[in-house]
Amino acid sequence: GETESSATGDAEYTIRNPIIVSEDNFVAITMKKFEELVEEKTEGRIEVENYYNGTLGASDEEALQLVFDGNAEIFGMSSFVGAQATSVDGLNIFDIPFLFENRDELYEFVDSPVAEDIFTEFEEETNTKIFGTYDIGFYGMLNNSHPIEEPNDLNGLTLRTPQSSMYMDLVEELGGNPSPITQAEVYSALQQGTIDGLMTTLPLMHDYQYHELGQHITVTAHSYVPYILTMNGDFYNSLPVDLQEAVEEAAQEMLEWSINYVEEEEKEAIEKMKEEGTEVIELTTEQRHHFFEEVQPVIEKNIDSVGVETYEKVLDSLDK
Amino acid sequence: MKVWKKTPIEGYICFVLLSLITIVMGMEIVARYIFNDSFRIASELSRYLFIWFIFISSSYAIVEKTHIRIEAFILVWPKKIRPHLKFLGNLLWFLFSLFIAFMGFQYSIGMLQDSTNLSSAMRIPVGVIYLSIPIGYALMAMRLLQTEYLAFKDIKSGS
Amino acid sequence: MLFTLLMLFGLFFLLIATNMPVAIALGISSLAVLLVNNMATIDMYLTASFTASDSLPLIAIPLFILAGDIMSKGGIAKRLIQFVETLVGSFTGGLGIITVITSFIFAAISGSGPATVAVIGGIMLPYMIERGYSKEYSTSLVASAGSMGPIIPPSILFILYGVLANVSIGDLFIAGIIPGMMIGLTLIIVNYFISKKENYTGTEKKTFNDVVKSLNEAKFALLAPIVVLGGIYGGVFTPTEAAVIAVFYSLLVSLFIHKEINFKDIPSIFMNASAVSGGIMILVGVAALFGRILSLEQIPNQLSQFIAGITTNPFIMLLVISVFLLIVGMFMETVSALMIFVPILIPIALHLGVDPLHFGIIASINLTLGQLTPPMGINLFVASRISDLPFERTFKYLFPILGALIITMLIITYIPQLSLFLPELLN
Ligand code: NA
Ligand code: NA
Repeated sequence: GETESSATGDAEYTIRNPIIVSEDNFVAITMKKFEELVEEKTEGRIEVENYYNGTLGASDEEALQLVFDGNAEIFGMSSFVGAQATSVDGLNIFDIPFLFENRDELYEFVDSPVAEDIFTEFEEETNTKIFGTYDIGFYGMLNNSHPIEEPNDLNGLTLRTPQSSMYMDLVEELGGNPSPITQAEVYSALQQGTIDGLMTTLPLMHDYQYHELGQHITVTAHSYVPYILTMNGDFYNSLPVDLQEAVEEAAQEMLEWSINYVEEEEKEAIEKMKEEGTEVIELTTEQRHHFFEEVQPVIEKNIDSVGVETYEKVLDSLDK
Repeated sequence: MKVWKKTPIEGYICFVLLSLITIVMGMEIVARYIFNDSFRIASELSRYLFIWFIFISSSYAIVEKTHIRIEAFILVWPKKIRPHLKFLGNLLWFLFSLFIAFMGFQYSIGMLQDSTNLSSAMRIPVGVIYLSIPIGYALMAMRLLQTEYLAFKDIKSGS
Repeated sequence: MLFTLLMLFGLFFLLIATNMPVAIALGISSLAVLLVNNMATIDMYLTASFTASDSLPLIAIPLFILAGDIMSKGGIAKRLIQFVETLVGSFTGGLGIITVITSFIFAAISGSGPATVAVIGGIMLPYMIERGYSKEYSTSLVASAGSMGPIIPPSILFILYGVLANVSIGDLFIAGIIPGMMIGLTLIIVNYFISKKENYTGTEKKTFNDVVKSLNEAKFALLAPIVVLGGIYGGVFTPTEAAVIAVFYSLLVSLFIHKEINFKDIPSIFMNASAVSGGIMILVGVAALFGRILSLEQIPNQLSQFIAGITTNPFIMLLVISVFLLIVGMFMETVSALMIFVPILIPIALHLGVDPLHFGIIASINLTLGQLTPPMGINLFVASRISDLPFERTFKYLFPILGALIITMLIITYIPQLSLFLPELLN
């Protein structure tokens, strides 16, 4: 654990926070903000220990398991990992491609009663406390062959996707070839032509310098992966009320801060990649609708992972 | 010392698991290059077979005496007490294996009773894979007991 | 931190001294510290073990071990030796050169030191001794060449390091090519001087026809590393898939072309590889828990600050780390040493500005060099067993060889471009 604020040692409570990425990744930066806010608002009575580089939990699944087992206190879990580890299939709703028009619509939905129900179901099943959601940027597609503007532009491209049946089917439906290779091998694979491109978030494309290897980026925004700030329920309940309030307050401030931060990061990443000669295409609303229509079979095929009932409720609440 | 006349069950299980891993991964490569398609569950299936392979083969390694040891360290002790130390080491190993097996069973069974933690590609309960840990450690405990028993019989028969 | 470290390593070494396997000793001491310090529940042992074992790249380890087994039983090693002999057999110290080259080619597939020593040594040692090479020198050379072979990619050490440091295994393999060749060259040069002094002349020169004939015999054996390494570097498949290809390729060649094994032999070959893998792989999960504990106790961080307090001179620091790893390698087998110590050292190396790829090469070479010396010198022991010679009697030759290798290692350590040039060129 490479934390620098553990020197005090006289805190009454410790929040252990497993972080998979390295210290300068912005997922880690949002957690540093949380650490700062909690320690400030509780006047050091609670200490937050951030463990970067997967040194406490090496995968999302393990980190979440640590929170369930009480071996870590908090974790920013991605929605699909939460769904996988529990029976709360509704959390998979965020994987439906091209569902949310933009970030505002996503956060409007997150505050809606439909989403509240999903989160409450998760809290009850796992004895956890959810503070809210933030995100790590929207997904885009990058490749080294040609610009992607229409669904059939994916034809013949081998794209690295996350190991998720929804994303793999998405690529396949549009005529591409999904390849869920390990993150660490992506750069070489792109370089050596094992893959032609990939889908990931815009800030990550820039951080990992993928844009040097694939000059065509499309801001498809087909998905925003929400991160859900989740705390072990026993730990939360063991806190005195004033500390509970302080943590809640710190969490809300961190969430708001993170959402603004990621928006800026996205803009900056796009600017920088453009400056370095990468073509960055932003889809129009009509183009995104066109994609949404084309991927309907994919949604139908995978809808069981979300639940038809939940999906219809969500569509209703989004007026779609 | 003709102790292991026949291959223990772990040997056969490992043979099957390692063959399956090779075949599944081989099919994935063929699928990608010849049919230009990806065999969806290949990666997860090979990883899960591999986890089972690891814990079963660690028991097999007791029989085949392939566990990595630092042989030199026991040489610091007087010759006379070395067998006793070895016995003590095996006893601790045995107790440790039983302990992990016990904790592991509890944990995996708990997970299976929930049975909502499903793997992402094959949608099978992750508890089924977790079960490889207690079963592997329980097999280890059994093999240790057997080794000690056979060694004891060996001493008694005066060979 | 000090108390935890003392308890962790004190208990570990006490347990090791009962001849307990490294993995189990590490598991028990880690669990003891976890419970005494009340850091987490036992569940962490299970979750860490599970997560660390749930790794696609690691599957390459048993597969490369398996491929190596198939090749040694399927006549691939034998044909390699015969071919290389027709090329260099007539030079001074010719048989020594053959030992070095074939060990490196063989290790390039099997990725394992002891297997290389057993296979190449099994053929070369009797041959060298018969041709008048002293037992002492032959044993030293077979052990050194076999030890250093696994530096040539694909290597089990590189796979593990890639997983630990989260760097591309393919890039590591490429970075290992030049350092691996330098080490091979060092051995060939030392062999030349010793052979000249001891008057080990070559065999008679072979005719061109002999070369063509042996090349024809060995063509499928020679093709093996080309298929495996070429496939990785050409982007045809990942290092893990390359291991699968190596298994299929060696099976096909051994079964249908060399016809030196048949289907009946397959189960026992697979089982042998399983037993060897089992002794190694159990460490993966245990080492993960050990890493979690170090992390919970902030040890890597504090150790890094502590070392940074001693000196900030990267030149000296790198030397300290190298010597440390070399000493660790003298006492411990490479895989366990890598998994236990490298996670502690990576943050320090990164802090020094060492490229993680380069550090992987440095760590692997240093640990491997340590395998050549007692008390933990498995390759030396295997070679001594084959030649039926007490291993102490090799020291006269072994130490000069080791000295030359250490110099090469220092050159590789202080000229990062030797490791980084190829990956940068190909990227
Ligand atoms: Na689930
Ligand atoms: Na050694």
